[in-house]
Amino acid sequence: MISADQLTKVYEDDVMGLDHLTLEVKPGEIFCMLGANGAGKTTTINLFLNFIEPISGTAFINGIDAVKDPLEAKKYVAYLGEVVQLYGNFTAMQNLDFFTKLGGKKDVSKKEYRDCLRKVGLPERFFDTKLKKFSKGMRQRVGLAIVMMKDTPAILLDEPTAGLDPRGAQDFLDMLRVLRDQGKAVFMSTHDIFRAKDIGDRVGIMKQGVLAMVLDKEDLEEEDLEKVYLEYMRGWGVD
Amino acid sequence: MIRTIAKREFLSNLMSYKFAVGMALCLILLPLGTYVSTRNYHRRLERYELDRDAHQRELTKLHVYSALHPQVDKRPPVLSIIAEGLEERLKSTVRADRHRVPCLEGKGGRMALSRNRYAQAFPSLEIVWLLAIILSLVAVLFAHDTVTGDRELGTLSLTLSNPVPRHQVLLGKYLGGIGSLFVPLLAGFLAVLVVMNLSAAVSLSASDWLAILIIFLLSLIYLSAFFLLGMTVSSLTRRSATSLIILLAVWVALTELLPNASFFVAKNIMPVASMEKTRTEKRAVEEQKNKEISKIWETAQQRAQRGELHILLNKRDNNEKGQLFRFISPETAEFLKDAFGEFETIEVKYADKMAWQDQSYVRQLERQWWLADILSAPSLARPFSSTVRALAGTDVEAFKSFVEKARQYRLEVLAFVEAQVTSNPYRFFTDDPVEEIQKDWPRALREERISRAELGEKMKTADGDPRRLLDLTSMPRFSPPKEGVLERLSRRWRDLTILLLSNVGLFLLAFSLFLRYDPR
Repeated sequence: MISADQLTKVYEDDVMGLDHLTLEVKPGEIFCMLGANGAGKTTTINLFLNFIEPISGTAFINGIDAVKDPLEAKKYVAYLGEVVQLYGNFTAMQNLDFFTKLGGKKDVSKKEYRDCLRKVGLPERFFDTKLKKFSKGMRQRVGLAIVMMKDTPAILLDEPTAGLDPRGAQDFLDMLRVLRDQGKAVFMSTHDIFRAKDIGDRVGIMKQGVLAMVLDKEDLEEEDLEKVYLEYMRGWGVD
Repeated sequence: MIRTIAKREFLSNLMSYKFAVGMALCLILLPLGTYVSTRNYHRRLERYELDRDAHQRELTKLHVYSALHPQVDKRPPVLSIIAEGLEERLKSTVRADRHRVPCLEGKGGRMALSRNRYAQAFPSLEIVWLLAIILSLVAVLFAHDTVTGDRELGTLSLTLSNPVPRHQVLLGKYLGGIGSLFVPLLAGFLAVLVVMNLSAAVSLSASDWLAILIIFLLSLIYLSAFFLLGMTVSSLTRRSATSLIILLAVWVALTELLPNASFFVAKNIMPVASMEKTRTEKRAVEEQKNKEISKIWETAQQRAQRGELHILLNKRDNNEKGQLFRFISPETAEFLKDAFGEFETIEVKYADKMAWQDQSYVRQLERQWWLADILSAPSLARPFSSTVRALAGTDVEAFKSFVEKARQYRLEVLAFVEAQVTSNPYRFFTDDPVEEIQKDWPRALREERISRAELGEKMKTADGDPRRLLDLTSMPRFSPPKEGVLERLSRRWRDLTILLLSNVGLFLLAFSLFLRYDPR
């Protein structure tokens, strides 16, 4: 569903952003990408969304080349970033309506929007409240509602729990599990080793643009992920 | 999709502080400026009506054609309320007689033209200036975060993660932004019209309404150019604060520095001959003229001393403007006929010479203005305000048309006078009927056929005799130049093209930058 083959990005200042990344995230799977700042996690997401162009390799969303035909590929992927404040002067309903329409859906009823906001756990009294009064956690719930309304087979999440309190982060992950159970392929970048272990079906460790290791569910049960991660990082002599 | 983005942008702007600031600026400063401008217009109109009536009254008191110095007045256009332009800078009354060929003149004299036209062209609270400043500032405020603001909110990457082409995003933002700017602009214009129409002195014709409509559209085009400039800078920067600082600097440079700097540069590249030099040259021509005229009067004096000329009354007619002779001998009449014929030729000859000097001075200034115009064209504020002033009929071209028309009128007056004096050649200098001249009253007095007392009585009667006044009913009337709104607009085609092309150019630039913009 989400796949990359030898995907490589070198920035203008010759910094290696991504080095021959090859991976596949299957439907009904959550792939968590761990890595320090600048490791290439966000670069990977940006390449899938065609925000930047690779120097070589391919990125596919639902079998569509995201580099050659980005607009078509974007029909099948929903994205949520870390810093999504959304439009503060708009209510949760208005924000949801706007981004749902951008996603290509028309004639969505208010009831559907309300149901979706209910599903992400936003209290009913906040549906018609302007977002400038929302906490980060509440905004992130609206963000997830936007993702859910787009209803795509692939989901890209860029550190979506950063800055959320433990309860908020846990709620978020619970909702993510629901999406996985619906058969969606989720690629999530994160710094949070424990949450990656908790939610990820597979966890990748990335360093200096290279996907150095991928651990599956069994590996994760057997290994101490924190130890593996830190040792791996130390082994490379950086960070 | 464009509609969805435009609608969001529009609503978002409507709920922002920028909108409140824009509305407040438009709804406070524009009506206030209009109130002051309307009062100024009222004062100008009153002065025009007083001058015009006084000039017409003067013509009803003339006895001889040598005293005929018609003056023509330019009516202040009602749209000078919106664009005062050069109404307070250039003379709107010119003489159209044989002594002087009408020429562009500053209110402080012809030389006052040379002062900084740009600095003067922005008097305080002129509506077009307020529009140029306020609209551009409001547009910059609206546009500075169109791209950076969304990036900072994280909504730009969220938007672009959807199947929406970037050109649609940019076009939607542009349309929404312009739509939200349209509201304060319309409110400001309506406020201007309401304040204008509250004054009894203001009466708008159909062509004035058309001009107002065009000015409104021009304001929209001007505003759009600045909005696109804001979008361009926003697409170049990563933070809204940086974008705003750059835009404010560019705004000051475009609206204030460039027009004034252009005039400064033009003044140095194309200097105009010094005022003193032109003055000295004109004085020399004037002296030459006076010398030629004095020579004729010297002859007259010599002949009078020899007892060949007899003049019983020589006084100034109509406020010192012409010489009136009465009770003259037929020989004197013949002499004066020739003398005044020569005066006429001399006056016209030297008027042409001085006009040439005036015109060469004005031509130098016009070259300087032309260069300043070209240099300041990128300012956008200058092409905008110049076009509005042209539409209002207060630009230099409107004054030139008036002066040109006054020149034509002067020729008509000269032809009229010539035709009149052909039938009565003595009417240039005397209101004595031909049969009175034939009676030769000076001789009759010398030969004591008439007493001094009787002659005194005759003189008194002559003063109050309306038949001795000039009949000017058939004199040509001055008709001011009539230029249609579109004709006036077409005069500024270059500025109009600059405004339109800057919109296209800036949109393409913003688009090419936005295509490469990193939304993260």
